[in-house]
Amino acid sequence: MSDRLSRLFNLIPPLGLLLFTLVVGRSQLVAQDQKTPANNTGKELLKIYYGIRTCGGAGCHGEEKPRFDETDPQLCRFNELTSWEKHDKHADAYKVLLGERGRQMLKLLNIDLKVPSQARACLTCHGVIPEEGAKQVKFAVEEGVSCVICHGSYGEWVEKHISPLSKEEFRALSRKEKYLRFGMTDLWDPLTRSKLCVSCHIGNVAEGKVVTHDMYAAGHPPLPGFEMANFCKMMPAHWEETSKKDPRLQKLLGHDGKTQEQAKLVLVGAAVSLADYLHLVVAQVEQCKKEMDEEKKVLDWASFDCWSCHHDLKSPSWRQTRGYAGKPGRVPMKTWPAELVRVALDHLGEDKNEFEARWSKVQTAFVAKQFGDLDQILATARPLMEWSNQLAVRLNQSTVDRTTAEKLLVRLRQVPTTIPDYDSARQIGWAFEAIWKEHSPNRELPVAFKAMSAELGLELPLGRMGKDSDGVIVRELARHLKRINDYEPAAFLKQLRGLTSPSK
Amino acid sequence: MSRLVVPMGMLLVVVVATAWPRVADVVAQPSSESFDHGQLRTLGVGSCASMACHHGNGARGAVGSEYSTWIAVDPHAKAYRVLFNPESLRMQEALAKHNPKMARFSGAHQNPLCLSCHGMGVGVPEALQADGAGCERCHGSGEKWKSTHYLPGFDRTTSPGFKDLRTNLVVRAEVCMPCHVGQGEQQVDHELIAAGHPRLRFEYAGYYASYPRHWGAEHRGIVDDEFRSWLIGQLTSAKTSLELLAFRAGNASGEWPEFAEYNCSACHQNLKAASPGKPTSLPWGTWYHDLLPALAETRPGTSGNQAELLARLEQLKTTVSRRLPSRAKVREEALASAASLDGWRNQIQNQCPDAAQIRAVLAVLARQEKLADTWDGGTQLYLSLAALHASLVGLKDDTSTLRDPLVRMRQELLRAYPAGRRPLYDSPVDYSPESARQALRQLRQRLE
Repeated sequence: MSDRLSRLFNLIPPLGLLLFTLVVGRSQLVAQDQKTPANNTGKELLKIYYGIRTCGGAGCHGEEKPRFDETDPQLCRFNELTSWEKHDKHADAYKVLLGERGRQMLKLLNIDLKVPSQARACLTCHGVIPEEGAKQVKFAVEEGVSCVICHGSYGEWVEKHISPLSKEEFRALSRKEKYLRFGMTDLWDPLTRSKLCVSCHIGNVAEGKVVTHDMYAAGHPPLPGFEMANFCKMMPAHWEETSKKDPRLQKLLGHDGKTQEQAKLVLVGAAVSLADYLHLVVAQVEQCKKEMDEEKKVLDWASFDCWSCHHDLKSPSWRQTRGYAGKPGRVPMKTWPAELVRVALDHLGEDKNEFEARWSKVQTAFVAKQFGDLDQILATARPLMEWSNQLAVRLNQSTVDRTTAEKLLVRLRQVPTTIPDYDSARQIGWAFEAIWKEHSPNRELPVAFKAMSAELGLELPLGRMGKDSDGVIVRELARHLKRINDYEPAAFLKQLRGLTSPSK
Repeated sequence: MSRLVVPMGMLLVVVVATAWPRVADVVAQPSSESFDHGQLRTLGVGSCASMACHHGNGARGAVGSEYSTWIAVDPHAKAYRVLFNPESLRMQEALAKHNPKMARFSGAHQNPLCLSCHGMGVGVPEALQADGAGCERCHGSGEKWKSTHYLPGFDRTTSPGFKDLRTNLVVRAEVCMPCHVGQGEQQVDHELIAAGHPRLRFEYAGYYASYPRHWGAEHRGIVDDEFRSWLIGQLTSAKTSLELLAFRAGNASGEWPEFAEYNCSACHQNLKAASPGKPTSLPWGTWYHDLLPALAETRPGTSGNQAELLARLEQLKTTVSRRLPSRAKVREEALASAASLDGWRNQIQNQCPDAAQIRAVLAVLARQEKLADTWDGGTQLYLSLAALHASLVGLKDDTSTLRDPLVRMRQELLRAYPAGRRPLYDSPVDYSPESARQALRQLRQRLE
């Protein structure tokens, strides 16, 4: 009885929220058969920005510990917000702008956060810029990359998933329906999730999410090469993997009980990273071509590989041993987005030659002259971007089970055909770790991996800002930069050869 | 000369070695008439090396043993041979991989780009290239003077092709420039450096002091003046580098921007977590030009033109530092600055200051703490201070109190390279500007 009562009380905050939703606007449900995702047709759905407190009411997502009721299994764990607030760097996204480093950057870049047109450069990633005229409920940009930014800032799904009248019905809907009809982003889908994350972690011109060389020079930490599975894990994740959920919930989520979801995330994330890196490049080139000022007609230096220039010169040099994509001394593009795509192609059993030929053309276009030949880049990067997007879809549809994971672990141990740079080596290390841990959670990773992890810094900085004047990433920056500078491919390749299979 | 070499010690060995194998003639774009010996035939070291002439096998630097000395101790004699070492092979391979023009050559020893400095020069018969940077690369192609230069009445200043290195300090400085700074196509650009060639860091007085001389006191009429050599060297290097910049800017098929023009460490450094700034421009002029304002301040030549030159250089610096500098503007400004430098050099080339005046110049240089912000600036300062110190020693001035700070500064510059690092190629990772500044302060106190 008391249990029922408490559940009833739990309904109070959601009911308040529901009431608000009903008052501020009539839910206009998008036709069920609509193919376009709801958040691409924002006018159809009711855009509402909810603050984190609206999600954190008792009985919702703000409980201290995860809760699971065998008799009434829920998709959520009830402590998502708590976990996010306690540990997740995304909660500091805005606050870091006001830290020591943030203030310094704002000053150097002449940005006043109170002036929306100036703040946009930061807030597109470090918070959100609410659409004009959209409703806000206890929303504050200071909350950083908060719930609705990833889960969908629409009234419909928020209303549906909490209303006692509709929540059961909503819960039974497929993930796709929840997304298409109600605007709840399907983050269980590796493709959707990857696209969402990389828009900030790689960049997106149309969304105004671009880290420029000026920003780096002013103090923005370098954007590291991105790998979905590990970056999600090290947020740290405030959700439970589908494979670990109750079978009834797995069924609801459409999980087949066999899919290795981390492995799939690695593969899909790799293709999406490449596609969106190229997307960023293409959009930047298009911008350059529109510029009238000669100087702005060249790609921003941030479009190139940071570490090809930024390293202490030392000899003998592994870069000279490796050779160059073009004339020595020209600034190349980043190469890490290609590293795991090769693994993904082997997984699908597809021919790598086509990819290598296309990839090589883009690389050549970047070094056809100093700062790249814009027309050549467009001509080569755009088709490869489309190809990568299609690859991501194929990967998302492919079977990735335990046998696949084992094959992937063997494949990842293959010595790459060209000497990998730091970021590419990290891709391999991260993929190996994520797939191993999912496949054999109880088996320790090989000794060689531990050395690799230490040298490449595979463990990302964890934790909130606390009372420090800077976020954890800036606090760890010196160590990170030193690792990049000290990186020696020979040591990495030795560690790579030392890796074993979980079965051994 | 050893008095100069002592304070410079290892540092010079390091810097000098950077460009030892690269003494040559004009290949293209001769910038100075005195330097242009046109299409005269080069005869090769064999024509100088008979025992009755310059291969006397006598003491080092003895009259008649110039060739014997050169072949025994001068790195220029090895210039060609280094083209066969593994580093050169790898460089040739890297250059050829993406450049069909370079791919035509089976090795660096056939590549005109390499031979333009490591051999007897482009256009010289293949058989002579193996001489390395032989006699005529500095003394001028011998076709017209070989059989007359030992006769009484030989005119050192007008004989076609002959370079009067004995008395004319400007000519002496000029002969080094095409290889050690670069001239026209004959240059060490960023491509070559990326392929593995050491960066050129030429400081004339320092190189000259360390040069294993094939002449000595017996050679009559040799003018040696450390102060003038230093100043002429500074101005000539700066002028040549501006002409090279102008050539690069005007060469439409060449690389642009040419990264070798800029301070290597501006980009090539391990990024520091705590050094955010607002650069996004390419810092230019740190090796050849940042000392010029101080030189102007010393006013060794008295002319109002220097202020104008400095303003021009400052403007050029802004132009070149842009992300995509305008070729036309850079070329125009660089040529104008080079012409001004030429004028400046003409004014000062015969001035011989006394010890007090040299001390005044030293004092001005010792105040240039800002230059010590970078290893490049600090090293240029040190090399200049060492040259001036040597000139004071030459004038029998008491320099005992100045030695310590100079030695200290040299140590600080060398300390920038930790054990195992190769200064020819690597970054001065442990450079401490503050320590270098302290040495400068100490020197200043001693001078006061």
